[in-house]
Amino acid sequence: MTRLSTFILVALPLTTGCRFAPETPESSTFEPLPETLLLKRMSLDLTGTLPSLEALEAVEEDPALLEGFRDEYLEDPRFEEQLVFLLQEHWLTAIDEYFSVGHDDYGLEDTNEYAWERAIGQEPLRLMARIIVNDEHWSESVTAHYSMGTEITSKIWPMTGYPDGDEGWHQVEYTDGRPASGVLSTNGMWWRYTSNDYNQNRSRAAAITSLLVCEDLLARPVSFENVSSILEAEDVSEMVQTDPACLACHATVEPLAAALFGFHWVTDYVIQEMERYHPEREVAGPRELGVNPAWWGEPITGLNELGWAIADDERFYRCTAEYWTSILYRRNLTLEDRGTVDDHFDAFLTGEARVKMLIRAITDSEEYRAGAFKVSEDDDIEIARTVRTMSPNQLSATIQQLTDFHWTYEGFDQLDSDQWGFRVLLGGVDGDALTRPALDPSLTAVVVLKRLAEAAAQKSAAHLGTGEGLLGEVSLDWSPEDAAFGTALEALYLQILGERADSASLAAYTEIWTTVASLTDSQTAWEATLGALFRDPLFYSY
Amino acid sequence: MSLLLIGCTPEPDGRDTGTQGLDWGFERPSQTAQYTADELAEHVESWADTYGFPFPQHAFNRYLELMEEGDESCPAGGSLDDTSRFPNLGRLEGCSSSTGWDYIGIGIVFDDDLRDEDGIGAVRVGFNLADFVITSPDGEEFSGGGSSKMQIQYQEDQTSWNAEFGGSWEDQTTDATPWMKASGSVDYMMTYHNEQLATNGYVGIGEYAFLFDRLILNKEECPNTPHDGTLWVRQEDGSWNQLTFANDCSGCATGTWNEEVELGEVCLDISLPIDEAWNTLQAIP
Repeated sequence: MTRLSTFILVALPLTTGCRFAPETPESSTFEPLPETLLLKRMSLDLTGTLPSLEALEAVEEDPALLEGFRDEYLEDPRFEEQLVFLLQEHWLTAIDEYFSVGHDDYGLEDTNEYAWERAIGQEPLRLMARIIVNDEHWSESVTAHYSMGTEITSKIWPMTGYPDGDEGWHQVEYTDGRPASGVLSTNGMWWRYTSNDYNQNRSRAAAITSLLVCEDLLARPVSFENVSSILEAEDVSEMVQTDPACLACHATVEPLAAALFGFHWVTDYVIQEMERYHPEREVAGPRELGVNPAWWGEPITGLNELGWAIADDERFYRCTAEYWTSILYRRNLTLEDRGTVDDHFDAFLTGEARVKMLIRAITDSEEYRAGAFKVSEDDDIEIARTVRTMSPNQLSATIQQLTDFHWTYEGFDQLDSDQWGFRVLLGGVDGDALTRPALDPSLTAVVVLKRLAEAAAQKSAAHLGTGEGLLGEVSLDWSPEDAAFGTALEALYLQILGERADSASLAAYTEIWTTVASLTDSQTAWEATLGALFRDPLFYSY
Repeated sequence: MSLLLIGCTPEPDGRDTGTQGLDWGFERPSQTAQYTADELAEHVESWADTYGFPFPQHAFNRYLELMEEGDESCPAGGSLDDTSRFPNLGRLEGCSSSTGWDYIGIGIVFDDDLRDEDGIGAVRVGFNLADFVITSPDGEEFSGGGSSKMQIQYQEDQTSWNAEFGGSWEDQTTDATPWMKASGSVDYMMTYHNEQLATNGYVGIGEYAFLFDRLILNKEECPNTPHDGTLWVRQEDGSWNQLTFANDCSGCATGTWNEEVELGEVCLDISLPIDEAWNTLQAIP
């Protein structure tokens, strides 16, 4: 073994990430979450926002109502929005920059830059979210004849069907002759996963296998014993089809890449080339790569049949079950999770491949509902997440829900961008440099949370006593001696933190109010108290 | 070292990791021959009569024409000697001229005369990179993204011309060339030598999609059809028909669908675009 190959063999598992780590808890080790906190978890996971005070009190009264609320969340309009952010964690298409292509290439104002970026990157996510919300068979995600567009993309891309004068996301159809292949026929997908003249769609093929059937070809061990002959070869294209070391991956990659040439750009990163499908280039795939299109050995005619081949492949559904389990368990899966994923996969198939059925199965599981471990902390099995931290979009949606505060700057959502924002600092995924969410609290997240809490509390306190918002029913005249003060504080605590306050917690927050009130005034005291509640670890965690 | 690898690799569970089917009963879209021989000829003639062959000169000359529609400061003037025809724009916000024409993007052109004192050598002209939108006062756009590289090779006793033409070109302005009016996507090469025009590559215009597979035109010998090579014609379901010309100037080609199903003899007349092509070629100095 050469020194080079030794280094790469050692480095590969470290750089590609050990998806299958060794330790996992036995399912019998969990203490279930209290019902109100479980309601909070379900609400945050499925709507991105907190449960209403009424829902919390109802479940507190009758825990049997929990499943009903969960099912309501699956029908809630906010569910579709939340799905976009959950799907982003696996698909990673919502990035901030598209190489040298920018909003200014379309003559758009800078204030539209963020909307332009998300209109591109969220296109495949919105399509999948719409399919899930409509409770359609998951095969639709790779066979749909339609896509999703905004007022921006419907104007700049060859799309039809967008309602005149409207805004936001609507179902549209491309008019450039692209085959009906769901996400595989969206510009958003291929603006994120690009290729070039030399790569010939191979990286896109690898993205498909990784995203749709969870076969990460890039993580496969590669022998570099022939590295010198690769470097010296005049025709690497032929080598990847004949050398056994190359064939391990390229036997799959080349025929799949051959199906994607309708998205081939003859000049990289030029919008006129990127925004349209090129039917005449479909036939270039077999000619350039020397192989006919196929899906893992099964011949296909091209992109028009690729989605159907994937829809017929069991691994597509198993992979879906796998990544949804990982997303909703908020952790990487391990080898030991195979049984769990199998259970969810079975429920998914039994439910006619409706993702809502899969989500029901996952949110019904013991681990999803876990609040603590039964065993001692010394047992070192804390791979399961009994406590989660809010993602940037959950924080953004929740704060907006509670205070109507939406943090933007120059059109950029400050919690959903890194160009002008703090998404990564809060633990989010930028889809490019960072592809896994940070699941543990961090110093940067605390700093951002502090500023968010201050601004949100300030906005909310401005409506104090007006009948609107969190503090709408609070009177400036109340003091801790008044019963109404305690009732209001208790309700705030329950609504924001999702659980009943004990006397010590109430006393601590009352002390914050009293201290600030003694230095300033009642409104500022409520503002400080609210800000402290937003910075409470019980708010940020769920 | 090996232990590290094993530790991070899923243990085989004994199942085949290849495609595993599910019986959902999906009906996949099927592909069948859409055209008879006559219909295929009609389809090709329809393209030929409406659009013809896209030449890089069409896009390049149009660009030069419309660049003259601005004023002194927008699009920043300049001549063919400039390496960039949008020297001050780049990826900035573009400019609006006092004449009402707007310009945005970049168009990097070249015009190199490499002939010696005897006039022997090459003249090269075209786009190294086009990535622009030019908008008329009426809001009609001419946009180009790609490249077009043309070369005239002057020799003692003959002249040859070749071009590489790639990218997407669309022209909605008045008097646009028909193929750009319909929006064209090209990735092909053309060579004109010894009265023969050879084309090779991919051409999409409107609803038409073709592969010119070493398609040879020779107006003198075959004024109505290609002389040799194969014209691939895409049909709506994504499958392809082939018209193979047998170097015999019979006016007919052998038609197949998917390179398998024989469609019979496809006889066609595309004399109009052949004439137009020769007119374009004759205009080359």
